[in-house]
Amino acid sequence: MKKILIIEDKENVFQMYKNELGTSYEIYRARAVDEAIGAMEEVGPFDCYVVDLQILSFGLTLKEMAKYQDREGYAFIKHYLLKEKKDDEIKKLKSKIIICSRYILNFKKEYGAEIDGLILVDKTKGFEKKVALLIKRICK
Amino acid sequence: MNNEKKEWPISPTFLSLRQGATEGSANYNSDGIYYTDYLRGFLADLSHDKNIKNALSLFQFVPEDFVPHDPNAGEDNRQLSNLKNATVLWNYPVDDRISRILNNRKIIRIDSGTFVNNGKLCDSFRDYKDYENTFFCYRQDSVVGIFADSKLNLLKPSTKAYRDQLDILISDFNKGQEKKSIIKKEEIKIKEKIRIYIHYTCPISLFEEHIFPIYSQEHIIACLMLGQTARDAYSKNEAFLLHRDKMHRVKEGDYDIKKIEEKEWIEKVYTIFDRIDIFEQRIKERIEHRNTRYINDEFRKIEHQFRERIKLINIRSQNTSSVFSNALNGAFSKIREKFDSSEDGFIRMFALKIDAENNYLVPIGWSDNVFKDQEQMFFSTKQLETKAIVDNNQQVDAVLEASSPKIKEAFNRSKDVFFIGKLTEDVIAYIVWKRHSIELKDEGNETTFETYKEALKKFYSVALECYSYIRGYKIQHLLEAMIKETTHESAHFILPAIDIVENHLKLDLLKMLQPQYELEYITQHDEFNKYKKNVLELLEQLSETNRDSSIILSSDLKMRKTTTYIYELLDKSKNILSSRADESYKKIKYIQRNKRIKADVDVKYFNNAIYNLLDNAIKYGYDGSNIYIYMDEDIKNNMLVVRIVSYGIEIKKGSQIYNLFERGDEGVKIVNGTGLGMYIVQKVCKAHNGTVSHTSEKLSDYNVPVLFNYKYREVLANKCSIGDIERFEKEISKLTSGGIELEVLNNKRFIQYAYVFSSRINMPTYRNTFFVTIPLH
Repeated sequence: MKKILIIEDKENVFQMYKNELGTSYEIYRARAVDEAIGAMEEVGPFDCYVVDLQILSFGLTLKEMAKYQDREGYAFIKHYLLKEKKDDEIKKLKSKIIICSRYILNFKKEYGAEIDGLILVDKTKGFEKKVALLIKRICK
Repeated sequence: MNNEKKEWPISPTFLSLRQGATEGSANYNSDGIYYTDYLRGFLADLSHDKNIKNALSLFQFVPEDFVPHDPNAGEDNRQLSNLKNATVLWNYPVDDRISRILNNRKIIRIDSGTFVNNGKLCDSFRDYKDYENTFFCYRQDSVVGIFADSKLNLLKPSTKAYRDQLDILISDFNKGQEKKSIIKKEEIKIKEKIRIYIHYTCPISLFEEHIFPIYSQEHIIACLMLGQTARDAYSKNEAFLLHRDKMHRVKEGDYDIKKIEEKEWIEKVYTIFDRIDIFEQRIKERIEHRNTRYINDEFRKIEHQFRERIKLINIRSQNTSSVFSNALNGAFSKIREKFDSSEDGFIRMFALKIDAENNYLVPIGWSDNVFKDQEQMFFSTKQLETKAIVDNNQQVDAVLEASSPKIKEAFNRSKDVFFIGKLTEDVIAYIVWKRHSIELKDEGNETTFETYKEALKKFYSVALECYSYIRGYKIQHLLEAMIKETTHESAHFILPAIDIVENHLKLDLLKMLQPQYELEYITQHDEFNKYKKNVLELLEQLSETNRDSSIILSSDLKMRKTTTYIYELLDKSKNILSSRADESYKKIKYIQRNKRIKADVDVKYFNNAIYNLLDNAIKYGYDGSNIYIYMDEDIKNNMLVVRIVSYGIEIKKGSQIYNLFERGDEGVKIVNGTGLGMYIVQKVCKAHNGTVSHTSEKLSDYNVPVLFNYKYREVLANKCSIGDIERFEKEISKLTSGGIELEVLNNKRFIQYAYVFSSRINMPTYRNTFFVTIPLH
């Protein structure tokens, strides 16, 4: 069974994903950065990652907290998930990461070309369906 | 002298305005600058000066195509139609050597119309055979043309080189002179300045003709001739000797002319140079005035066209920056076309952008593309020092310092680089580079250049004003989008959003959107950006959680108090938030269920305050901890005291946390919040004549719920040192015996991964208590 890590601090949003995905996947959840790292260490790697930008910042250093304020999810991707990886690995990994957030437009402006390759989903009506579809495609 | 009809900068080579040209429509470089009447007036005034009392003429060298007379009046018309006694040396003979110097240019002569007594001798001589001798006189006078020599005019008149070159010209001219006059040069020092004039003796009359040059922008612009002066060579017996029998109108006594004494002559020369100084000053002012008018007129046109183009920009479209750039580039090209004469002139407008790793300049407007490659070389790779971005001068210096040696060499700091100012948070400053190619003929043109520079700077402001306007719209658009995005079907939150931006952040949105408040905009935009995220989150929270908050934020509270059992309100909030608390393994516990306590409260508002306090406790409490609600009566003061206790990170002491958007120290923000809740709590408490306060008391150096997560103690035994384990055990026994374990812990099994244990264990635990007091019923 394919393993999915959903990094999302809001219970209701997590439940929406869960309902949409059903029982076809092995779903793991992290609410904070350290939980995501813990999951990676003990359960990972995963076949797909769904990341919210605003999550709890436990696990970040004070400097990182200040730098990635409200973009904690991306801090996990940049400083843990993609850290010290080769270019082709990064490319491969990026195609497995779905960032679903309300602030996708601003996020794009803030990081520009750096986030090319990541799958970005705007958290508007029906986002959970979009994300489920993408997960299905990635895990195929 | 060149013959080009360029309009800028205004550096006229002669004074008379062409026939038919008006001051408003003339190209001053090729049409002259003064009506001939004015010049004649100057001559007349000077002629009547008590120290002069002599005939004066003004000579100018005009281009080949200069048509001074009315073209319809025929070639024989020797008078400029707009005045008397202004004579054009047009078809008259010019000395051959002078003709070569003039190189097809012509000489215009303007006479004062005032004659001295000895004038009639010359007139009578000229009358001969239908004015045949007049040609001789004019050929004589044409020696003024020596000042028009092109080599001579490459030199500055105040220099020795100029005087030497004039000596050479005179010496060449005098070679082979037998019967004709010899030109002599005189130098005289007046006010520490060496002035020169030339003179010759007419071989017929033996009168002296003196020629004084007049300069503008260190360039010959006219010559003043003081004629028919009886000086050393004059002898009444020899004057007109060979022609006396033909000069019928003259009597013998007329030759008895009084010679001018040396002292009297010096006075004349001083007076002439003094008046020439005044005249030169007037010419300078006139040219400056014309230049200023030209600059203002041209800039006004360019600004108008630019604004018209900006009006056509659809600011609702996404791609406004490139359209703005196009309009700006068009305006810059126009400026260059109007004010630059050479090919290498250009204008650039740069924005200095700052990001975390590098500061770089981005061009936002340019007049052409000639130097585009070089810009990359100049600016893109070099790092600028952020510390330099303090004031104008340092800014400019820093930019130059970071530029390549080539650009440092090519640009003159004081003339080419302008600092405009701070615009937005990320766009710190606009710097404008102008490489001008105006050839300044003398120091006198500096005023003109200053005027030009000021006009150019003013245009930059206009450009930025439009830029601000477009950006202002973007802000408005952003705000609207935020509101739309977060409120869905309801306009309920627009009011608090605007209220917060305007009243709490002290920003005037309307002003920000109006171009005339550019400066305010610049500073306010900065502030707005600072809080943009907060406003966005606030709106999100309002839409997601509690609509009543919007009302509390946006207006003065209109209280509708009712006597209410407080436990009911607390219970309600507790129930609403219980599931939220469960999400983070917390539990809200109601300790004293004294159902009898009543108070006069506005149910809606008070509920909101309690809701926010509990919400805060959930956010800032550690996972796996308890949250307690206590309710007591302070009988002595007849007050109700509600305490909400949670266990988590330290909450700052003092009243600051009750300010809007206050979210604790930047570095220790662990949870997402808007900094809105405590502001609402305080506002509600005050409205109930109550207070809100808090304490934060340290319980342990460790995260207590994490410490008691036994599940991972075995796992960590492999990772942690023995010392660590011992310290944990010690702390556990201390907390257990002190009753802290029971007080704080709610769920001992909430950590799923070992990493979380190590990540959170070293966070100290504080007991945070909020006290809300309001009067009892």
